[in-house]
Amino acid sequence: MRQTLLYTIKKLLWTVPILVGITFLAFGLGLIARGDPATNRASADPDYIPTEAEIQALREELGLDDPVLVQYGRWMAGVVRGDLGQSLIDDKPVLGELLRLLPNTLLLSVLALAVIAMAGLAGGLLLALFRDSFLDLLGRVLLVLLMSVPGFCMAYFLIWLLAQKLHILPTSGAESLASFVMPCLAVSIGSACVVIRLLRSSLLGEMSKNYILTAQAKGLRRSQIILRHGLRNALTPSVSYVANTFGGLLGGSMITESVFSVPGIGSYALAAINNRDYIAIQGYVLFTGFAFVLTCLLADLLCAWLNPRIRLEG
Amino acid sequence: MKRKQVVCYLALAVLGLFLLAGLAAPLIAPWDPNQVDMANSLAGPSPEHWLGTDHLGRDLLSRLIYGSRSSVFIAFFATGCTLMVGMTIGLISGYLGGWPDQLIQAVVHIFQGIPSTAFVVAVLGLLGPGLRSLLIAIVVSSWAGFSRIVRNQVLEVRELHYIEGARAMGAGSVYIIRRHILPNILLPLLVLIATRIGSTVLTVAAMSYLGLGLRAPAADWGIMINDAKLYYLRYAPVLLAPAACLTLFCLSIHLIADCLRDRLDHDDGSARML
Repeated sequence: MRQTLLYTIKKLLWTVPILVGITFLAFGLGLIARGDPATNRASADPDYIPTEAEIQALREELGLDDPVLVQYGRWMAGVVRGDLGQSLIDDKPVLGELLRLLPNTLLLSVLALAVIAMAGLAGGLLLALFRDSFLDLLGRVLLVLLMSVPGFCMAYFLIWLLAQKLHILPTSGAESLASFVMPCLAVSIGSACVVIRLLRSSLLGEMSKNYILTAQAKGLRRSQIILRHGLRNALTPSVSYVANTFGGLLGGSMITESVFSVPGIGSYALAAINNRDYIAIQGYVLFTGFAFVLTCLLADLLCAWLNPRIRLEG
Repeated sequence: MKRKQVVCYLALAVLGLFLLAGLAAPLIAPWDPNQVDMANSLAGPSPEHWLGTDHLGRDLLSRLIYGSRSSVFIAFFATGCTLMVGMTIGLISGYLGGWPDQLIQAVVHIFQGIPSTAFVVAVLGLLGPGLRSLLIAIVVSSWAGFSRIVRNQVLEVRELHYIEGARAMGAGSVYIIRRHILPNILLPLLVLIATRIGSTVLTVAAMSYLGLGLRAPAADWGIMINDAKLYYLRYAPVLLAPAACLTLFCLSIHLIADCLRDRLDHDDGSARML
């Protein structure tokens, strides 16, 4: 118990400097933006050509002439208060917009997480149990084939099959749960295949170890040996991978969101990029970075709970 | 065992074919990839156009061949750059140890703290589309993962007796890194390099698809898929052909990585995690 607590505290403390570092990185991204933000903002209205003086006034208003550290400080002061700034294009608060669109992305990611985890667990166990059988062989060929299909190609295949040919699902939008089925499948099929392969190989690795032999000698049932001993130890790499994928989905859903026109934070980021809205991009990077780091932290703690060796070695 | 080897060689052959198609694109492509022929748009296969044409009447096969040039070569080059940066930093970090190592690892963790797709898109979006931005975005977003693995490998090798022996004989750090450490970590790194090339091809294609990477009318698989969005229901190959190329390329990369892993697994199970 004490060890778990110590490990948790250590992990939490280690997370703080990383989060601070991410604020630096997210802010720094804004600095590499091409073009002058003030000019971009002033020319947001295509019918109006701003004067030099107007642009200069805007530069001062945005504080673009201040030293970088002062700008960072001002930005950070906002971040701490939960203010990621206002979009350069429509003046809406970035955090508010991200939070408004988050439910769609979150729903997509959570659904995908569930599919990946369940398919991964079931498939990995099945292939490991029937090792070297015909099922295993066929499964492995299919897996490597499926995981080679890029997500956005899979998306178009699904649209063609499920919407154009079979007419059972809508092609775009986020009105009903049904419209999330295809985006979810498009992002999760490849990752699920990776998890199945990972779990199969780590399970087979564990099953050849001596403690399994001991368990067999004790006369435990096969299901008990696999579920209680083998699986528990074999799960760690898969848990890390799934958590990584989930965190990655939160910040990597823009392709899927754009194919299926899901109004989520990925679509928001893409729109921001098209408008060269660097404040929104900074906010987006910070937001997804924090979400990603915290997801990975949770996964680390989960792995330590599954496998006590991790928390002892620290 | 025999069957596995056949699969490995087949995968290598497919990869070689893509490379060859890319290298010799101007020689083997039957048409100019950007030659527009509106009268002949979305035409089916014919003796002139083996795979038919796209919505502007451009020859699909020629665009695929030129596409493998851009996709595959950018991926190889970007992975090479990432490898250089990541390996150098990882070697330094692992070899020095102590507080420099801690510091570098903190930076590595920070760079890994941003989901890679978000990172690539943000850098690309802010720098503006184009080849140079694409390379920068890929290197900036993926050097950290590379360097962490290199560093962990170095830490393992560093403590071995022959390194100690070399040091006792008065060998310098650069000599030890070059002669003893690098050759010993290179084989496990091959798996990583292979998988990275595969994922970089996907990144390049996805970014071009989003309009952030290469720009139309460049012949690139991602751009071809983006072009095909509106037309694939009328003539499926405009979408199927580039998608199949991407899939085939990734498939061969995965199979090669599997083969390398099998080789390494003779020593221990550590390669599984790469």
